[in-house]
Amino acid sequence: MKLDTLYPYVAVSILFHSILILSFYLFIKITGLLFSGKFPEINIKSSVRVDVVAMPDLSLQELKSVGFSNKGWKEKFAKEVDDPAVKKIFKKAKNNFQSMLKGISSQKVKSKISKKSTKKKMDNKKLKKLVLKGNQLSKSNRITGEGIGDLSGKFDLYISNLPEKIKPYWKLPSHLMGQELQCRIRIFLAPNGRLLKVELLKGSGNKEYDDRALASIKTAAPFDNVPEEIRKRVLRGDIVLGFPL
Amino acid sequence: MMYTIIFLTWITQVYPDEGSVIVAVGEASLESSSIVFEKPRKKGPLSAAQKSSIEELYNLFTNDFSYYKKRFSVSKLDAKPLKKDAPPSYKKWEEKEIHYFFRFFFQRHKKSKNLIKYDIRGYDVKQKRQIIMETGKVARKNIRRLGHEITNKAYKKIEGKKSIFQSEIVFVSDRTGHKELYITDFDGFNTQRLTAHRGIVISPAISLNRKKIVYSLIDSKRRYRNINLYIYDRAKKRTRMVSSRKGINSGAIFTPNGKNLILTLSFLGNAEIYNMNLKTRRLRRITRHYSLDVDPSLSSDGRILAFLSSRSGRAMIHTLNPKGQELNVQRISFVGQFNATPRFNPFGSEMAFAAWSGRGFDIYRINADRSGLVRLTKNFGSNEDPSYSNDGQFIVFSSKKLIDDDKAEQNIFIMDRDGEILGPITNKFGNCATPRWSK
Repeated sequence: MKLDTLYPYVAVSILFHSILILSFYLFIKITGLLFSGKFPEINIKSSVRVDVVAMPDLSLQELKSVGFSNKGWKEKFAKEVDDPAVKKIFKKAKNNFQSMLKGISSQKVKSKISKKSTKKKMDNKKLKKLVLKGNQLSKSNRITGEGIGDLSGKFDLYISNLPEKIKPYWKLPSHLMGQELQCRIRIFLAPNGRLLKVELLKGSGNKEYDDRALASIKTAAPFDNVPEEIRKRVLRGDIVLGFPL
Repeated sequence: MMYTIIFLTWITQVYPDEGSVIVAVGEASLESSSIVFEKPRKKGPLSAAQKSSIEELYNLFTNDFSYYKKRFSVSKLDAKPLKKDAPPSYKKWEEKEIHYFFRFFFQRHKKSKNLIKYDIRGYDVKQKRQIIMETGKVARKNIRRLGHEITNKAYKKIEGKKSIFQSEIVFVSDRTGHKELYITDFDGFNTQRLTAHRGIVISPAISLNRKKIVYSLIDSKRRYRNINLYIYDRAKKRTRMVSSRKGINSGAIFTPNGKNLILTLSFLGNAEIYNMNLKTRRLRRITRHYSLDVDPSLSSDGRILAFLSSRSGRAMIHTLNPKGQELNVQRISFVGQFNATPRFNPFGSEMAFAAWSGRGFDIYRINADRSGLVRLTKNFGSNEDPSYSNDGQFIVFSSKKLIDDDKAEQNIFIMDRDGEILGPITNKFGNCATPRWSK
């Protein structure tokens, strides 16, 4: 094929592709304008995973008396199942199985049964320790709530401490309780944790409810020192407080 | 290749990896209102007995409202001399951040030594108006009944719902050496013995209109031991036997209309739950299972029944629709070695029950949809037989504590539904057990 005859086709192709790219670019810009301000919102609630496999060990009064962000809580109340006895059981089980396979022909049947029965009794006792009580943490690392990823871990940590600071001041008279009212307030914090500005993002429809929510934030301020990495986000108002969520 | 690059740039522009995050602060806690009770103002000469009755009435007011700890903070105030109709200075109270205040005026009745003239007024500071005004004359022996009537009226005006101030609690005590039936005001005053069987009374329950009390009696006088069913009529002050079928006739409760009983009968060999018409004595079977079904408890509207059944292997809590037989049976509790006496709150939204917690029983609470299992009592002896108050805010239960190696003391306590114990209502009254709160 001769190169000169291809030229018109190449030119058309280049023209076509450049129109396509241009239209893509314009499309990006237009949709970018449409989506501005509507960033996907992620709900963060401070959550702790608790497996209810048995009756709760701690009474409701005990649970209420400890704030969940308090570091001492884990050490005080939660017992992680890190029992060396547990590891031993699994090791023993493995050994038993392997030895069973190896000596399946050579081992006497009677002795095998008697060995099994005594070992079962011991295992049951230790297995009882394995049973997770209501407030015992299994050895998982899902202690924080849903986060976006490790990159914003510090942000998640900072905001998960906010509810405990505000809750003591968040009170309602009985005529406002149980009405399923909801409001959202955006806060702007300085790097030292001082409250710069509050903005009522979504009102509940009841002025007293919203005023009380705003007052609780103002009374709870100033908040903790903001870690450097997230100062920018906190300053530009990425934190929105939900009353109650 | 080019298109994928373009697509990726588009995606990252529209969905950035950072943005606003909503943090849930959670539900608000109840703000408590402060109430001030000005001390009684007395006019004219009064006998010592009359003065002590006035003091008793005044203390009853402060005591009653103190039960609702989380809702009200109660304080007493010395009273300066004042005329009955003197207008209240709302501004002064507002400055002191008081939300409600009460004034008490008393004087002797000219004709009778036993009667006291009273004038009690309550005011709402925020709304700047009077909420109650009660005047009249009262005999000294009725002073508590009048007091609870007025406090209930005041509470209703403030909160818009009924209080516990006029409620009563039935229970069993062995004070006389035998287990007999007793009834008392919710605050432990005015305790009266109702039976004199000199036997063993168990599982009492009071009807909705409070006119009748049903209970069972362990009869060991005959050749074989039987548990018979009795109903005590409060107006006639008489009791009569309503069922003496062979075996167990107990755990009875009234239906909301007061015409039927729901109880456990074992005359067919196995313990099952039946509905018995009080007039015709006819039975309608509610459970039909080879396992034991006992301890019925109804929600106030009678639409759902909680009971204890061993049908799943262990003693577990179940619910069903009491209008049929084995209708819509749902298992509620899945953990615990032994769960006993499930008792609904008046709204049927949650139930309290006693469960074996290793060294004794403790009271737990669970929602009717199986969620929210919480422990209410801990390190408080062995706690059993919970019963909700008429407004669902409080739970009465019995608590047995070991004093010595061979001595145990059992008393009746009241706690709020979150497990905060308010105090005992029986004191040195023998071993008191199986309380039931009037609804």
